[in-house]
Amino acid sequence: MIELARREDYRLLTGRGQFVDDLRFHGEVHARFIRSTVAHGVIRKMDASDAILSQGVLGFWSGRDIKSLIPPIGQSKADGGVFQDPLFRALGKEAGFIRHVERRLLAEDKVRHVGEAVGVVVAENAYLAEDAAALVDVEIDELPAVVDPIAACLPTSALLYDWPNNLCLDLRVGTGNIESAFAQAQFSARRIIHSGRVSCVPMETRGVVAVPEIGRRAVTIYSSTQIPHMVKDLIVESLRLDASAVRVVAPDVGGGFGAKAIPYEEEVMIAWLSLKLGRPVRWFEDRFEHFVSSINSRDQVHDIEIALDVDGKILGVRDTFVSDVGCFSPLGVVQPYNTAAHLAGCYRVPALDLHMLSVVTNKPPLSPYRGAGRPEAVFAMERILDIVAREAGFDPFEIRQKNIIRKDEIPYKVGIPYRDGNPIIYDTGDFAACLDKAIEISSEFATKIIKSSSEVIGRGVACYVEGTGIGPFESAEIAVKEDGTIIAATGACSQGQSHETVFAKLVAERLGIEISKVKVIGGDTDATQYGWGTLASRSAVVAGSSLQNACDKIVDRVRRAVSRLWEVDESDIEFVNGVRIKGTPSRSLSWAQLSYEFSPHGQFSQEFGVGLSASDHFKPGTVTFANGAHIATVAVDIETGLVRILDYVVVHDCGPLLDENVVRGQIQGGVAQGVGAALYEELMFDESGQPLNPNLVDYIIPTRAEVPEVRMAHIETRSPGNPLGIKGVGEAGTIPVPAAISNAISDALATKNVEILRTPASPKYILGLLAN
Amino acid sequence: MSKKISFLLNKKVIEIKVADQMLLVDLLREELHLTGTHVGCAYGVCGACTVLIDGVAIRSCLTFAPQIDGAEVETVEGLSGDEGPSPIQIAMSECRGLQCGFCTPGLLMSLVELTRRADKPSDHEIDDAIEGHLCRCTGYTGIVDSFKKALGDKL
Repeated sequence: MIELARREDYRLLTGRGQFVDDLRFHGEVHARFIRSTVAHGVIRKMDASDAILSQGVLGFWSGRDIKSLIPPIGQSKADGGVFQDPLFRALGKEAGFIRHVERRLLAEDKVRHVGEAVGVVVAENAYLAEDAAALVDVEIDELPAVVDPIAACLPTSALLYDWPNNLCLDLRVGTGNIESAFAQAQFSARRIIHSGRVSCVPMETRGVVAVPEIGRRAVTIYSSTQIPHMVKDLIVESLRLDASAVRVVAPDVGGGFGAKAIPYEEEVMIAWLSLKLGRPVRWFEDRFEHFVSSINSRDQVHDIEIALDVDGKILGVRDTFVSDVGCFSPLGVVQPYNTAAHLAGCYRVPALDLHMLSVVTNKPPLSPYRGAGRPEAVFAMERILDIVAREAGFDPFEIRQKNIIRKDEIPYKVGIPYRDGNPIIYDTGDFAACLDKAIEISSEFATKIIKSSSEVIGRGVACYVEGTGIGPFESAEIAVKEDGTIIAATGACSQGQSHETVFAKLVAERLGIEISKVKVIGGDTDATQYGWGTLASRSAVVAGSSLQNACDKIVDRVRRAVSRLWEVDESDIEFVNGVRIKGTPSRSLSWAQLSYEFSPHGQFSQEFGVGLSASDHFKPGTVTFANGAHIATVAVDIETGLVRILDYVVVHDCGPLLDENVVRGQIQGGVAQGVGAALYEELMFDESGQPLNPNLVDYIIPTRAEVPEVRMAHIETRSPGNPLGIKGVGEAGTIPVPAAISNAISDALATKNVEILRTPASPKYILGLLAN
Repeated sequence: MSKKISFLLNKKVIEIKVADQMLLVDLLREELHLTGTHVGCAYGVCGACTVLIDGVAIRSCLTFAPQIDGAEVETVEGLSGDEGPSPIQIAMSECRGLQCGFCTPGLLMSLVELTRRADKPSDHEIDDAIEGHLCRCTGYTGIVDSFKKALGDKL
């Protein structure tokens, strides 16, 4: 068999990938959700009599039908609950409050966004299900829609919930003396800066197939998810099933980026329907549903103010920011607090005063998307820094070099807690080296730029830090099989991050075996009892460390057994395609032979126990910080408002690279998503809460033509926080892109007094600024 | 209403009765169990469902099954044989032209069309072929490299 560059490529390239919608089960039926066409209203009538009589229909269920059968979804582990308590303990009671929403699988009385599920129909095939769904007559009495997050805070606003106002989070965090910082300021600037609302748009939308077991109340759910163990927990709890009666598998998943990092109503609903009907039930989200029923993200408005001393040193930053979380925020505090925790970024900011407000509106729910609050933070901070520098007469590069935390200041304490409750400590990195290297590479860019007469050129920089590898843990279970194959299972599943390749390489190197002998399993709750999932730039760090530790446990066990039974010194034992004694190649055992020796028939098992396997659940103390600098060179056409990216440079530090090709792919792909958010992507709503562009025609994600080839360099500083010495890289490419590009556009248009203060910087927005 | 159609699919003759409103992508995926062709939007924008009809790259989500009566259809499943992946598939892997792999089958079909049609394709023609496809993972540079590698001597 031909070995391809990645272990996952053979099936993906030959059309044999196993994405959820590619799975087929005997007797399967298809579900279709009926969704609200109204943003805010009360369901007056739902008549499914025609739908039920429609060809091939097995049934219809409304919110009221299932009300007494399935309890509401409460706060799950996935909503940040694990870290929320330590964070609130660290901040103290006076810091603020958070409100949680009880969710129903299907709306019962009130609907709160266009796209909210109000009913579900099941039919023999997807065509019949869709036809039947169209026959359900839903009448909703409209209520005034809450659309603008700032107006939603006014006492006159309509309310979404039975609360005194529309706030679901009001939290303050800070350090230093902000009043005296501004009192001493020689220069200051204050702006309203807005990161627009986006959708994650993985190319594979969500999908679920639930297969009931015959003769037992048990079900296997195949879901396009980043977090199979959390999905399992929710289904067990909601459907009151035995934990061992639910298995959740994430098969091949076609991108996630955060859209698949919460457990969803549909996963519980499809599982319930399969048990109810005794047949496999399939549901595949369509692209419209992805925009309105999968989570949206970003959407923060900052009122940010910065103070500098006479030399351009930052004295303090004050920021009140409002997150429009739509109808609710499944991960509660995570996104706004990530923004707060990363706002100071690479710079010494002695005084910080950050006020987070999350507001519910009649839009789809909001949850972290690649970057998770950090792109919003970097956009606000790096824009205000550029603005104040320009006003005070400092060069934008110089002001950053002046304020950037130097290597000899690491470990550096920011003065506020991280979202896991631990103090933020920049534990590793050489921030200035990244910035200097980025400036050096960017300066190499050809000065002879071919441009049209209406284009002006600008350059912009943005730096970032990123807390990566957050806990609480990840699982690894490694077993040596009788043929010498190593099975390495982990709770961290892949949505394209090359886990089957990178983790196999890591295990193979540790055990001294060919990579082709290692099989990686991710995302099967029957393969690892515990698991957290792939999100938050954590899998290489946390799952990778668990895998390495589990390998070491196996190696230690073999070493002890061989040393004792062969009467050799442990230091004379080495691992090359199994175990062997240094200098005596004839004294060796392959992994297959070792597996036999540890079997009930073997020599080693009598004293050292049966079975050659080990597990590990690495729990990081707190996050470890990655960092980097991006520099964009752009051409802005002042007649059309179009922006061309002429050059894009990334210098970043994720520690020692486990696989350079994978890291490069994460950066290049991450930048592409950042370009989308910076220039094109925004999910818009009218004043009644109707989405205006929930499709790939009007919601523009970058094609080949819009994405530059990133020129990148890696700086590798070891992390002290994990045995691999690494930091996460999944989100690094995306985080500073809107800031770097907006700074470049603002630089190009500086003589015209244009400041980019929102994403996306669309042609319409730029022309509007130029017209004023 | 339904109609019996016959067509060549990956060099094999298929005769099947299809409903008038059935889309080609659903015929392939649901009736013929060739699930390599994917649906990313169902309205012709993303390109994941691209197949070749009489050698031309076409969106199978915008094509009704009865329209292919008498035509030759090629899908990603037809690109590799018993000997394993074809050189263009190997090029895609080597150049890291895929991450999650969902958009990949459609891109491969556009690449096949280009390799057959093109005589010294320019960078612009290569970009043109790729611009009909949305990929959210790679940022496209690996795809461009894959196309160039696959085109090899033709460049």
